[in-house]
Amino acid sequence: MASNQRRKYLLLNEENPLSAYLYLLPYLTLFVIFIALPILESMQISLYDWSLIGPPPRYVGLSNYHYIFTEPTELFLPSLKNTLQYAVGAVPLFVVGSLFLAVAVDAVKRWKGFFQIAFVMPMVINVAAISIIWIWIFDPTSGLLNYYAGLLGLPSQNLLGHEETAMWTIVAVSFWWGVGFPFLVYLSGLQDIPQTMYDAARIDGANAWHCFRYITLPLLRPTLLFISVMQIIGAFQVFGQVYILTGGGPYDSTRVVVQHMYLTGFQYFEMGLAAAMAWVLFSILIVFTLIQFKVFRFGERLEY
Amino acid sequence: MRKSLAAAAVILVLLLALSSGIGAAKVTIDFWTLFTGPDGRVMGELVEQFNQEHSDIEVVMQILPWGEPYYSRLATSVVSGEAPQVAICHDYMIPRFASTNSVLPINESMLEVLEMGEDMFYEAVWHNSGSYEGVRYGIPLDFHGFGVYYNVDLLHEAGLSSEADALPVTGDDFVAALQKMTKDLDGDGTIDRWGIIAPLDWFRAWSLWAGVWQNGEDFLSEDRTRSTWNTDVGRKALQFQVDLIHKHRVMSPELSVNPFLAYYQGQAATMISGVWEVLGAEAAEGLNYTVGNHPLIGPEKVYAIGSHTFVLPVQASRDAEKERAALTFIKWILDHNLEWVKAGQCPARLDVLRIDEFRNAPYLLPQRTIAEQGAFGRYLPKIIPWSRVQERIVSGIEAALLGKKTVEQTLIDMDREIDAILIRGR
Amino acid sequence: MTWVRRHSKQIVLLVILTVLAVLWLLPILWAISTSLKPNPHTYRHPPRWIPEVITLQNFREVFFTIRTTPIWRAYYNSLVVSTSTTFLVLAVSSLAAYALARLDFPGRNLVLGVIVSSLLIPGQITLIPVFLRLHRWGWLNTYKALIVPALAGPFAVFLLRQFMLSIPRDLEDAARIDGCSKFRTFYTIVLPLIKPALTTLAIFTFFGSWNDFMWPLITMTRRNMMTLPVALQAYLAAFNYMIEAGYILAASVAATIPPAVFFLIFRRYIIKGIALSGLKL
Repeated sequence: MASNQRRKYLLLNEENPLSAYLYLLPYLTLFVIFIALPILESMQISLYDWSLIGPPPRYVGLSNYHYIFTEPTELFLPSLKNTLQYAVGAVPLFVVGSLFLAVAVDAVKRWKGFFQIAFVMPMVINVAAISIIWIWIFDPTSGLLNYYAGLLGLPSQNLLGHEETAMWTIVAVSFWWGVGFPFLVYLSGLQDIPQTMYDAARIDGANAWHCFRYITLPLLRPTLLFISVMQIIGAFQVFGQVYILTGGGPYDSTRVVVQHMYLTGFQYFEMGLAAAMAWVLFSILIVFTLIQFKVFRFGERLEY
Repeated sequence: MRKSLAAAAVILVLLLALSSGIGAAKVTIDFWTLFTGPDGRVMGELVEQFNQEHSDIEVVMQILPWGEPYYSRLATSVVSGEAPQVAICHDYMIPRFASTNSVLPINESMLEVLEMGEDMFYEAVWHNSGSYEGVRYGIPLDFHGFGVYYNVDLLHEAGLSSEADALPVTGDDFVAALQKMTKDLDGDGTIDRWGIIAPLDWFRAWSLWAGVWQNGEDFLSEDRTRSTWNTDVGRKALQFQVDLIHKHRVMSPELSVNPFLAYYQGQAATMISGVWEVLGAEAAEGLNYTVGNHPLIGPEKVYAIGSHTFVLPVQASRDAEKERAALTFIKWILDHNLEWVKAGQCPARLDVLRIDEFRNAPYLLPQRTIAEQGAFGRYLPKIIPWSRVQERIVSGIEAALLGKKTVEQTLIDMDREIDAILIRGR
Repeated sequence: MTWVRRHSKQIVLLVILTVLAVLWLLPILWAISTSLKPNPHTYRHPPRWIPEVITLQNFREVFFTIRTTPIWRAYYNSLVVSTSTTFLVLAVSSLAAYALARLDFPGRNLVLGVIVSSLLIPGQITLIPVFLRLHRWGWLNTYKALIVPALAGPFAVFLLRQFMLSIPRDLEDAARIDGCSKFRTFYTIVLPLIKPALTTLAIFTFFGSWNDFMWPLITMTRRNMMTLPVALQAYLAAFNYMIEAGYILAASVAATIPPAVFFLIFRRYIIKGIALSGLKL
């Protein structure tokens, strides 16, 4: 009896609720070392003036936060604004555009496989190739796009070279590049919806739009939430495409926040400022995500 | 699956064992470069040759992407004690690395091993590249300046001579020549062959401060604490670039991240680029080119130049043997300066100028032409946050050329932004 | 005519999708075509879709170059890293997900909340601290530096937990009544049941690891340790790379072939896997 009692408190005893931590142990250890502690450390860094190389960190309180919000020549707020512009273009395009592509590919009866491959393929292409291909296409004097526009008698365009069009062009290229993931997820979500529901609706005289509006859309709600949360997070962390296509130009009009963070940390060697920016970005993402959970009424159960 | 993991682990262990085994026989040193183009191939061949000639030293060259990723990685490698024994560093990055004790000072005894001194180099190159606050940290490998690449066929077509001494020297000559070469070929009222293609963004910045210097002034105060762009001279230099587009209409108004293609394809008669562009021009199909010096837009004959230098990044622990091997390597490469010049740079060493091949070979024309800048060359100000200052200048010029801001407003903003960076100090 | 009318919707759909698909594939075809051209031909004006001269010289250059990491070596590094990462992520995350989905223990909601909220954290925030830690441990320039931090990602745990919640408990309860231990239940009952989710996760982890750029760029400085994206980046000269577009695109095409073939072969399985794993919140 006594030995049984003692065993009860051992983690290895399955009856001890704390034994669950054995399953969590490998992951939690990694989580603490590579995510939790580094987050706390980066919060600490954001309170210091530190250049990575050179003199040791110097405590400066909240002045890094103060600097990025109040220094008139600091590009953090403009780059946040540019990121917002990207998100305003990209999030709806990804969430809605890839949904329509998926619905269309789901409905079409021929060449399904070909369409799936076509829309997913850009996803696996390397960043270096993307840059060469698209810079080539968009070049104002010798690019493919203007060559064919010229043949059609259209005036030549410099889509990446002007503030008015550069960011939207980046959005379009990003969509070309990244549509594969949401497209596949939607496609799978659509396969989850029982055909019988559509058949029943048809008998009641519903047309294609009604079916979409009253069956597909509501049943896809969890998928929609998933995609839109992922896209918002992705949009605020956009970096690679911008860096490649415009490098942030013309005159910083496409400089995005992660690029600015990267430059601040690793080119300007202002680790404290960069960490402060990362924390501001993190706070913004949390707010956005909470709003989305409200909008999509997360947690309500779905019955098929 | 477990098998494949185990296999991967075994292979990994074997590889690690192998790589440490090779190192034991020789002194192995790491050499980082940022030569990602065809010049990287030339350097690779030089390193290979060096390794063949030296049984006791093995140099392992790594090419890392040019631009800020290169310097971020150099910095992080020093912080983490994983730095290469030798690295290439632009002259304008020396203050950053020197002020943080990330690169070793090159003292007298090292210079003795190198058997090098100022008499071997261009005066401007030796004195201004590689040193910071009176201490030497870098050995110049070369220097580079900007020139004008002309399409010879288009020069002739416009009735202009392509002889070296007939090419434009002043800004006014240059504009006049461009006006003759700018054409509306199909008569539809739009220009389809430009006199000059708008240069790459940071090339424009080099032309801009060269313009200020050619008018006898500077764009930073003498004590390097204030930006002084908004002056008559600063306005004149920027106005020159704006006028090429908006007044003379000889430069393509659309800015591109890849202006070279339009020149190679004959859609523009000239381009401004660095001496390194020779490799592109040589490779361009059917292009008959010549090179002239960058036009002077003021009374003073000054050119903006820069250098690649060898630096010795600080190691976790100093190893005399490796340091000596590094110096041997640097000396050897500099003894083969002409080979490196062929990769599209001007020589740092004066004796190269006396070599017949350098004086006569047609494929070295751009190097020969731009090497003349060596005697009149001026380097960038030695301030720690230089690359950040340059970024603001690049951005400002772009806004002015695209008509987003007036010339004056651009320069006012530039001063404000650069002042803030100078106050911050890094 | 009646055939056309009956199928008019399908025809319209087919036409629209075909136009879009061609638009999607054109840049890729251009890349492939350019990778087969001799370098001077790559920037000819007017553009030519079908190379006048087809050469494998670019591919030869890329595979046997001395300039950077030989591409076969980069392949090998990427393969080792992506495969190990994928298997270890599955192992570590499924254990944790099981505890969070099926076991009742004090502090569960707290642990879950912390993990879920860390989903929102931009990766750049942890970059420097993790880098410095790996440096202290002497892990830079080892495969560990790429594999181990990737195992801490919260997405995998989150995904697997959500999936486990959606499968019925009946089988597990029956097994427990028969005296099966919790771990045995997990190993013999739960793992097979969550196979679709594991497949999906494996694919995303593998692709994510294969294409990761920033982290290997910072941690892998030795030539022999570079993964494909980093090695490829080194091919890309910063300003006059256009004269060597053929090489760069050949390298990119070569690097893209393995994941592309992988996707082509497993396409149906992937879509089914995602469907069954119910990727949703």
